[in-house]
Amino acid sequence: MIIEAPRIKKAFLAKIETLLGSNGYSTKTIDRFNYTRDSNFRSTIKAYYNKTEAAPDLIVWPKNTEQVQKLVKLAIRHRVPIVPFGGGSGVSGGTIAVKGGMIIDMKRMHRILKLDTKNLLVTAQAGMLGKILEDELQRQGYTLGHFPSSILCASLGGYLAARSAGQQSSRYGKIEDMVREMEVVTGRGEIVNTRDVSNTSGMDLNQIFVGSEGTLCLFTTATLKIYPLPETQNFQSVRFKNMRTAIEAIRRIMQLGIKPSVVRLYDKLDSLLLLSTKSPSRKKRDDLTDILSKLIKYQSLKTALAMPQFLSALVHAVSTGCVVIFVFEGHKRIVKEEERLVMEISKNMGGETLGPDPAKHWMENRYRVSYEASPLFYHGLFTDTIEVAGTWDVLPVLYKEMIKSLSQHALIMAHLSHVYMDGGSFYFTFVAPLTGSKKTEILYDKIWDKAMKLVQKLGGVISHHHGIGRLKMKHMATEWGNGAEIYLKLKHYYDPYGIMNPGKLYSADKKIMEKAA
Amino acid sequence: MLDQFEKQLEYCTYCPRLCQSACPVLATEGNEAHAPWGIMQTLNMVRRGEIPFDEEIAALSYQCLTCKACTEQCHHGNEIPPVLHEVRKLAVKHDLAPPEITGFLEKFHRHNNPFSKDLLQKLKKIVPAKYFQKDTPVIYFASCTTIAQCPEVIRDTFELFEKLKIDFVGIYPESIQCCGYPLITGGLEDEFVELAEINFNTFKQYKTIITGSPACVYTLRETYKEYALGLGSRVVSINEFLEPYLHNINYQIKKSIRTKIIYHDPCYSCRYLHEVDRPRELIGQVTGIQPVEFNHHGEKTACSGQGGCYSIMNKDVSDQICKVRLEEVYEKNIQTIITQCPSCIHKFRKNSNHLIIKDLVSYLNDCIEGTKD
Ligand SMILES: Cc1cc2nc3c(=O)[nH]c(=O)nc-3n(C[C@H](O)[C@H](O)[C@H](O)COP(=O)(O)OP(=O)(O)OC[C@H]3O[C@@H](n4cnc5c(N)ncnc54)[C@H](O)[C@@H]3O)c2cc1C
Ligand code: SF4
Ligand code: SF4
Repeated sequence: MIIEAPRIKKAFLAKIETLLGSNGYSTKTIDRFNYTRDSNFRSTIKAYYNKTEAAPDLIVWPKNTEQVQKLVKLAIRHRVPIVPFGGGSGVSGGTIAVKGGMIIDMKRMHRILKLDTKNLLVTAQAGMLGKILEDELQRQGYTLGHFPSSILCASLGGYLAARSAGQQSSRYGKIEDMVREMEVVTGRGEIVNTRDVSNTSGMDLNQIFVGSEGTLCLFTTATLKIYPLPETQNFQSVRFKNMRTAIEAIRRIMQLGIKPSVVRLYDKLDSLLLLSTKSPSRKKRDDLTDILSKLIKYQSLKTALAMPQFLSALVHAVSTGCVVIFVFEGHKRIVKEEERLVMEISKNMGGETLGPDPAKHWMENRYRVSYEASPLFYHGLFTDTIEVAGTWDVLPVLYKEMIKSLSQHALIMAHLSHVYMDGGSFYFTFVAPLTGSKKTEILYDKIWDKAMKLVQKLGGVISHHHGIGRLKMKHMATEWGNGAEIYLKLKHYYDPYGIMNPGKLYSADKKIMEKAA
Repeated sequence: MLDQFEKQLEYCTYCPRLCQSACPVLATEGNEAHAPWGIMQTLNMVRRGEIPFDEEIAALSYQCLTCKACTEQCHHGNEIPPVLHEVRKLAVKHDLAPPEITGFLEKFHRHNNPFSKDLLQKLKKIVPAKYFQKDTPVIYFASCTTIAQCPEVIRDTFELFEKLKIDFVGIYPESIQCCGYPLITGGLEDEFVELAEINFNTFKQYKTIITGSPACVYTLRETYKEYALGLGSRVVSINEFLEPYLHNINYQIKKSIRTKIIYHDPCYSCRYLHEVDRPRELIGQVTGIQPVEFNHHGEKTACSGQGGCYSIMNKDVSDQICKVRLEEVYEKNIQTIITQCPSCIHKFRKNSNHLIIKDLVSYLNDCIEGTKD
């Protein structure tokens, strides 16, 4: 394992020391090693084989916006690349310092600045971790309504950078729907406050920066909508014969204007996993490994995964259907009526009621699935998730084609977990054996490449909430088409020196930038 | 090296850092390398032989409060502190331990405690001589930190014993007044074992050893056992000991006890000894008061910043962690913190100006006037 020595000019480092003090930055090898990756699984595969990604030259921990601004100005003067870092839970390689440079870790900016209970708004610093923010709000009787599976380790700035979606986005929206105002430090070294603009008519400037993944600015604070904690929560679960019917039922439900807070449709394999883990004790083995390790007992899972299509067929043969779980929340009377309507539609569509238990069980264990990666890798398997989105007409085909195409390479399962009036997001999970460093990376890239191209061919979009980062960057030209020019113009303006998170989101190399200028 | 922890280290390496929001060190420093995930993945690379075991790695193993907040949030129940304790032992054995730790040992050697003081002499000034002369199978082990930093707790304990007519408890009269916890948490294993053996040979003459410090209870009860020096059920926490007396004896309560209090769970009480309800029940039993709770309480408590030997190496961060805990007390407008660990008491006192910080026993002693007979 090699971490190259940092390449930083003494003069630059001296300025950093003056600005932040000796405990405000680090060039130590061990510290830099721990900033070589986020939580993207390509890097995890590398870690499995003792390989590292590119290391930053230094890491800094600013405490306030003024320090962030000064850091950006210093980086401009010395042409040092900047990589913003939040919780490191990103799964698209967004925090990898591909060109070295300075990681700006925002976690020392972790405070709630204002809780405005009259107008239901919260203002917080961008380095605050999701769980800490939500816990604090809940203690005061409110919720952000934003519950990504990574709430335990993701930051507010990371949410905004990657356009995060929580498990209850069908009711509360995604982070870009929640944000009202922001303070950002752009790659020009200016502090921009979107407030004045978004409060007047005209363009919503928040939306220029949200989703920019550190390539235009650093988020320093944000004001977001909050909600009073719901009076009640009801749970229901329904089983449908197949995905197509279930998708259609959900479309009808959403287009009636009903807003369940959770709608999750699991395909046959995912349903099997969902239902197999009823009332587990805390120490019990993890769901996915549990099932897979059962398979290992009968035939080596690795051998089975050499024939993933066969394994998928087997699972589909033993499974009895696709489960949808619903959670309704809010005012008691509204919730009751929503539940009644949903169950009526489901029944009319041939759904079989499973009662509240599977949904309740899911709610109690809503973050458990995030812990699955460790045992899988430990048992010699790698995994990843591909979250894509599409309109209702696209979704059934997208599901079918993705399963067909990817099950040639890996065991694949899916759930539809964020649904709206016009469509939703499918979340595909794949598992395959680790078969050597190079071979595995090639397989990993192949699966992703195939998936992204297929989604684009079928008219879907390649990301709903995990962002683009390094992972999906090469597909962005197709994704944006000539809309990319808007981004490039913004990039040229807000990051004129090309220092903001290079190698992420969209290829903005010199030639392209010159053209955009 | 570290192969006995292979599974824990591997799990953390592949984990998307799911316990980050629980770690007080990460919350204060923000450094991924000092987060549970970072420490563990780095040590895994040492285990795999990818990173040399050197001074930097040795120092890394001291960047943890051993508070187990991460374990509490980890679905796999992964425990970081035992891994770090092992690394610290290896660091000491290979002469790689940070100078602060070797300096600490020199200090310790002078009087067999971290305070470089003759604590037995000090103890003799705290409790009346009669308790030293008692030929009794039941003794109270005061703990070095309590003697050095919050001696009133010892005085209050014996005062409470008197009020409750408990007249058979003597005080541990030996010159060594430390269980060895500061040594073992610092990785100073050989020194710990030497000390523990001496202690064990005197302790085993007693039927019951009562102590008020949760880290001492854990060390005497669990850590000694790991070195075949098991004292078993002889070791009793002060709460366990007092519980039946406070239940059965008819005592009078002082009238002026209506002060609002907040209870701080020390990590060793709640995450190592799993004593969460008992202190609250004792408070309720005596005063009828329910303490105000911290946002993070019980098994979800937050460390005072003084855990393990973290503050030896990281005084500033450790103080900052403490201040975060105290901020909540100010916000809740409470004047009195009740807790049970001498290190937490000392830490809170050092970092607050006007708050009253009391050990649970002192508090109970304050509330009880005397028996009614
Ligand atoms: C187990 C698991 C489950 C997940 N589940 C979900 C889910 O349900 N929903 C969801 O939306 N996502 C999910 N994710 C993905 C991830 O948590 C999100 O992308 C999250 O928004 C990233 O936040 P972070 O603070 O960890 O960002 P990081 O990983 O630190 O960074 C992500 C990107 O944001 C940039 N960035 C970070 N902070 C700032 C800032 N202050 N200013 C500018 N740029 C910044 C970084 O440069 C990088 O490009 C999951 C990830 C994991 C590992
Ligand atoms: S302790 Fe558990 S939650 Fe924390 S990094 Fe390790 S495996 Fe993940
Ligand atoms: S034991 Fe406490 S200080 Fe140590 S890594 Fe875990 S949470 Fe952090």
